[in-house]
Amino acid sequence: MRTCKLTILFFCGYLMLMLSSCKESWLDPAPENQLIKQDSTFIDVQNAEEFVNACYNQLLQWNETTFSWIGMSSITSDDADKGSDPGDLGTDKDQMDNISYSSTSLSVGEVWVGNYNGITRCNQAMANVPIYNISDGLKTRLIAEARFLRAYYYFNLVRCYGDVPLVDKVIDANTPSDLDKAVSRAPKAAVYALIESDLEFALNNLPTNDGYEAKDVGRATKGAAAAMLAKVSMYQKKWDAVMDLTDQIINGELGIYGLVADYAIIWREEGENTEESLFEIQGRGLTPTAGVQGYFVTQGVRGSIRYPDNTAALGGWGFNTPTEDLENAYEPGDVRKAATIMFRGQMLWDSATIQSSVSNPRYNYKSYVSRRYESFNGGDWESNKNVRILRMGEVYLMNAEAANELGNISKAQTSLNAVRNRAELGDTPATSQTDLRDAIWKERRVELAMEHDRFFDLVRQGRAGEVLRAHGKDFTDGKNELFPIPQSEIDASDGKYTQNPGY
Amino acid sequence: MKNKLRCKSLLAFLILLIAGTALGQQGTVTVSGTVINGEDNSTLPMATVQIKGTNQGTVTDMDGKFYLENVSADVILIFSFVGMQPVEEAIGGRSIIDITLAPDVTTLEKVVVIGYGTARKSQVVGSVSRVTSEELTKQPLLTAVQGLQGKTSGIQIISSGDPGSQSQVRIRGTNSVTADANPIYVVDGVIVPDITNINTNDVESIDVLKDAASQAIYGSRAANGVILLTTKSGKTGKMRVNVDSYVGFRSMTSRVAMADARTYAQFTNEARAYDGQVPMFNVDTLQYNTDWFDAITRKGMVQNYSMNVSGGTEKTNYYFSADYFKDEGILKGNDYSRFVIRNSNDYKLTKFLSFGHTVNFTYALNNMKPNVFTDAYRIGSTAPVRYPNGNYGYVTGLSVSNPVAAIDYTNNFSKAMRLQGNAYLELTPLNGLTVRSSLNFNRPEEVVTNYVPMYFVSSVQQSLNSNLNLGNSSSLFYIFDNNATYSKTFAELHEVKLTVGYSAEHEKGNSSGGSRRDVPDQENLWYLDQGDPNSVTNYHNGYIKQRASVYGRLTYTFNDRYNVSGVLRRDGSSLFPPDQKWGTFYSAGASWIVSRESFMENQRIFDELKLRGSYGIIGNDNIPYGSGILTSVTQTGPYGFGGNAISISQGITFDQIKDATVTWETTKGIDFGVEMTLINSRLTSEISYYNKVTNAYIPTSFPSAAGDADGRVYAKAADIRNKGLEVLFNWRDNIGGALRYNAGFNITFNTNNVEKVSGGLQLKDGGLGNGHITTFTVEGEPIGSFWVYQQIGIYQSQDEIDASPHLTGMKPGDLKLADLNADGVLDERDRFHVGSYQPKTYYGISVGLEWKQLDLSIDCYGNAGNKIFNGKKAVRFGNDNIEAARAENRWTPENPGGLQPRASNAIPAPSTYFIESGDFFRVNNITMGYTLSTDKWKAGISQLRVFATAQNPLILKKYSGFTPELPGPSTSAGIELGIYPVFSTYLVGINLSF
Repeated sequence: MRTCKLTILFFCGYLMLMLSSCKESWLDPAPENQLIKQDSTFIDVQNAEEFVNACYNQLLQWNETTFSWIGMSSITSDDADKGSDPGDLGTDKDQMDNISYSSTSLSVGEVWVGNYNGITRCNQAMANVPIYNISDGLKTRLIAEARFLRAYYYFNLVRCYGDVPLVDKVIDANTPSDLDKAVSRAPKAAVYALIESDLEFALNNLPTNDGYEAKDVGRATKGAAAAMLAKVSMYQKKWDAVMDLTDQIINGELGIYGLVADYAIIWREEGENTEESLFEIQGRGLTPTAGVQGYFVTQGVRGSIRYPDNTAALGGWGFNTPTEDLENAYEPGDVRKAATIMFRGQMLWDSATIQSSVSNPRYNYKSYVSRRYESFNGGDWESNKNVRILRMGEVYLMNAEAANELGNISKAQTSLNAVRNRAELGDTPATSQTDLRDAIWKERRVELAMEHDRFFDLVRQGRAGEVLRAHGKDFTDGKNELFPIPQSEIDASDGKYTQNPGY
Repeated sequence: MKNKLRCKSLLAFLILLIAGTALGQQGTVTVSGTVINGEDNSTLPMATVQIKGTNQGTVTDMDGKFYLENVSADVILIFSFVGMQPVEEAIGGRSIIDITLAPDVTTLEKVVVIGYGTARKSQVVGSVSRVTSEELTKQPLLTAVQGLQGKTSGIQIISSGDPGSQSQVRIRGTNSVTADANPIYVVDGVIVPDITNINTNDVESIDVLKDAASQAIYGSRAANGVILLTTKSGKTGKMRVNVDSYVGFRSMTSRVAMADARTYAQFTNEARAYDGQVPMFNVDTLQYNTDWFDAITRKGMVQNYSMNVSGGTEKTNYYFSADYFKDEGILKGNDYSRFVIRNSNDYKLTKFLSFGHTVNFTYALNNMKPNVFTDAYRIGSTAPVRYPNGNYGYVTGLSVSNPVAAIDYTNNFSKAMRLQGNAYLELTPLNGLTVRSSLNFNRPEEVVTNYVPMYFVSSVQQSLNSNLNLGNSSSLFYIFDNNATYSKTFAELHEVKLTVGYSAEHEKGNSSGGSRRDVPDQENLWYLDQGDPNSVTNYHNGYIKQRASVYGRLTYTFNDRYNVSGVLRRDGSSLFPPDQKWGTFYSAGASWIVSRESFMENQRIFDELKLRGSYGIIGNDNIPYGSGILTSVTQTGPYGFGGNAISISQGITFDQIKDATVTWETTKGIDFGVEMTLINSRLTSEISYYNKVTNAYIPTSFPSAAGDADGRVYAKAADIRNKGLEVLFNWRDNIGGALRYNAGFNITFNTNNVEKVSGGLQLKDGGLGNGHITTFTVEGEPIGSFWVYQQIGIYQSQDEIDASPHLTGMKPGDLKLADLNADGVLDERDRFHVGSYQPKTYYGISVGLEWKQLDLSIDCYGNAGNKIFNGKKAVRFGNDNIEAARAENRWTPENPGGLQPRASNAIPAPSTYFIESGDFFRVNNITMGYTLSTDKWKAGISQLRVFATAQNPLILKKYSGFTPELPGPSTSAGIELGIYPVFSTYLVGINLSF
């Protein structure tokens, strides 16, 4: 009996010991493979830059620059058809094509979410960069980069949806006044005001393109901020500002810029980040990849494309195909047609031939990637393609339009002719302000075709209904100038977002 | 009561016998006799007759007779049989001894496993179902859980048929919307997510805890149900050796006739003509007509070899088993093989201390192939498998891979090892007190090698570079558990049983992998080192979960008639934020054994009658991992500044809004039941009613502008109710003693209803991959209800289309959809709910016969009241093949009465046209066995049975597709997209015992 009692004592003691070893920390282990706020996040100065890199990374996301954006900014216009096979709708690209989308169309929701995700990252960068122990100069530059990108995202939103929630700081979801910002739509004018203040800050604080080290090529520059501000001003018809900013760029006051001689080169790897470029999304097709997700493959040739030795060149899903109308818009001798449209049966610059069996007669050449002569790691999802956002061709045309609107006809002609001459076309015959305006608008179409500009440009010019209806699209004036607010977001706001007229 | 009397009279009889023979002769004698089953007075074959204190003895033959030569006249014989009370009998010089064995326990006295202990069925206040090994082992299945299908009520098993895959299990309906809704498995105390590593032959029994009261002992893990596996261990007595094996083949049962080449070509040309496209085929010059399902399927071999050795002495016992299982499946090139070794030992160290351990080792090799059934369904029958020049066939203008090429070019292997086991120490310091301390562990490890060679079949099926992908994952789980159980009966009336314990759980896992391109196409060179270093990618991630729990259960029984039982458990979990870590779960219930009351003594209807009722609160902590990490930093992915020559830059941000109150899902439930045995124990029956409601996690939505990347935050914003009725009958009897038979029937009626959904996000799911969704979970409907347009015919003319609200792009011959809300516009508001994949009822039927050396059993299973969305039929991207029935009698201008819509390449809106009944009835298993008389062989064989089995030989279904069994997540189950056809298995096997 004695041994028995001893054993019990021993056992109980042992159990107590075990219990006490089960400390509080047992239920609070550090999360595996997950950085949290409390870690070294704010000590490592490298992280300041990473908060800003995140703002750029959003440009590569599928919901920001790819399928939905292609649908809304390009397939809607008279430049591009849905493409692909008739039965393959790419979710709702048929609706984009005939302008029959509704608030529940996927693309309308994705573009909204993509741009707000970008804004979230910019707000986070602006809130967190000041915490770091880095030089004031670097801090200011990083914040200026974030503000440039925030302006870019808001400019997309305001053009698509008009009045949108104006969130200019990190939202604390548990604070009602903060959440109010996120669940109410601010007037278009207030959105433009924020965009302008961001771009002015960026213009004043960013380095010029020759002021960056080589490793930083691709970051927002003074020139990019100026060009973006010019474009934003153009949408508000602030012609003095447009002229002043574009003049500064053309005169080389904001960095080294100019038109490259060969238009076709611009969309090849060798044409990346040249003096033509004010801002472009950097696509990296080497391992590790950092390309624009699916940008090439959604628009690649649908069907067989082969090199002379019969190996396959890069093909894709065949969406966003140039229209016959666009093909016919080019004047005879315009070199830009061959640089913009690739045709069924054609041999491309890298000697790949589009076979006659492919689904569509025309494809977007500006999105083509050569697996043979450009950086390629075997994957077509994140390709080497840089998406050109702002380039000198457009700067000259903005300059021309501003000059024309301000009555400076000869200056307008000079800038317009600079673009025409590069395309191996003669000087414009237009001399009156009205003719010249039409000429500039037409020039914008062919110069910037398939560059996500046409639909918004037509709306800006106030003739979207007229042009798109003539093209057979179901465009309703007073409604289709804006896209519907996504129903999913209206639901998420608990019905606080109002819908755009007509939807 | 009756039972006790029977025991007493038996005892008296024995004493008389012993006394009467005490004066008998000494020396050796020959003894023979018959063993009778006291339950029904039939003879009892296979009963053991052992000479006490030795390993010598025999078993009775098919007529229950035994024969022993040269035994000492003064020895004692022990007669025993599973489920019967053993009887010891001194020979006392007799030469003929006939023995009647009484059943050892009544149904209510049977012991069931209830988690951290066992209980008599009479004491159980909740709903626990038990299935024993013989029910499970006769089926050629990977896991024992598949064998539960149709065996008992309240348990729905949905299996995909893919070799090596774990079945989906739903206990009393689907509780959860987004969290995992599968139950937990507890194998001898080790909580594991699956039991693919357990050899079915090693399973002694399975107990399923079905209601909140019995589940509560597993607290925050239990809400989806608990499946307790008890494995076999050695029994004191002579060594037993069992060898079991079967070999057979599987073949596709249910086919869908596809259009032949000519029909396909005509259909496609016609469809293209409507879109103004040129014809794709010249129907008169078609060269091939391929049956793609023939091309990718085969009769797959299935084989199993299993052996075990067990036995023990008073001090130790042992159990060892080895098993090899290989399943080829019906898809060419696909196979799964598994090798399992299990060892279990128990030692009685002293009178009050015992010790034991179990180790289970598994090695599984899975040669995986892509699911090409979908491609076989879609590819045109006009293309050959291969052209005469050897190249793979394809259809130009159709974006579908050649399924044979896809199989041939896939080299995807998984090698998995898993070590699982436990060790325990058990102390009995006082009579009635047991203290047990155990350490249980599980360590799975898997390596997946996926090599894709460089190839070109067509522009839609090509690999530009060869690519090697390597994945490696492992985890370690252990649970340290200590508990004490005290049970004592006071004054012969008050029985008290108390269990208290605590446990600490740890699970940590990681996965890593890498890939490189340009690795040579040679198996011995499938190493990352062989690839292009410029193409290196790699990843490495991990997770940790830790839990601590305290639990207790008190059962009080008065006079064997009244039981009350309560469970309390507190769980702490590292998955939740600091203030939300601890939760309390509990249950209480009572049972009343009515048949033991004095007023029941004179009735003849019930042998046993028990009523029970209980209530409990339990949890499910399977919410998405990471929901509880509130301040996580998001790695956004890189950006490439400075051109391709410069290395990429990483990005970080905060873009996740988290619910700071995140915790487990809570289920509250009641359960009432009646358990009875009637007609001299021939009929047993159990009827249960349950009603439970789960407060479930669903993603709620935040406007993107608020700063959450996906706009989704998990919150407890839905209530799901499952209520139902379970009825179970088992009949057991014999005819003339020689023919014994049993028949069972069980049925479960379940109603699943979403009672609340809030949080702004519409729970739409069941995406078809063509831009359409098919389910919408809303209040008042079951989870994952199909939500479609109502089809009301076929448009006959453009005038008809123009005259009514219609979708864009409609042409004559298309499906006409109803404007249900009559607002003059056809849009999503016209869609309606047509039911879900969750059956309203499911049932099992079984019949067993034993006649002399022959045995026969038939098991059936069925379900009714659910719907299937025929997804594969709806998903056509253009120029795909169609089912023969779809092409036949299709609408054309010449055949305006056609019942099928026109040939079309357009993507149809989800409508009732694609909704079909999910009802089916299947014969799960027919097994016929014959036990050979081996006693004259003198080979030491105690049993040799040969059998033949047909698994799933027959299925009756209304559904036109391949299989009505379509597992999937709660909100998207029941959509046939990735097909795996139903197959039947035919096999022969032996059971051999020494």
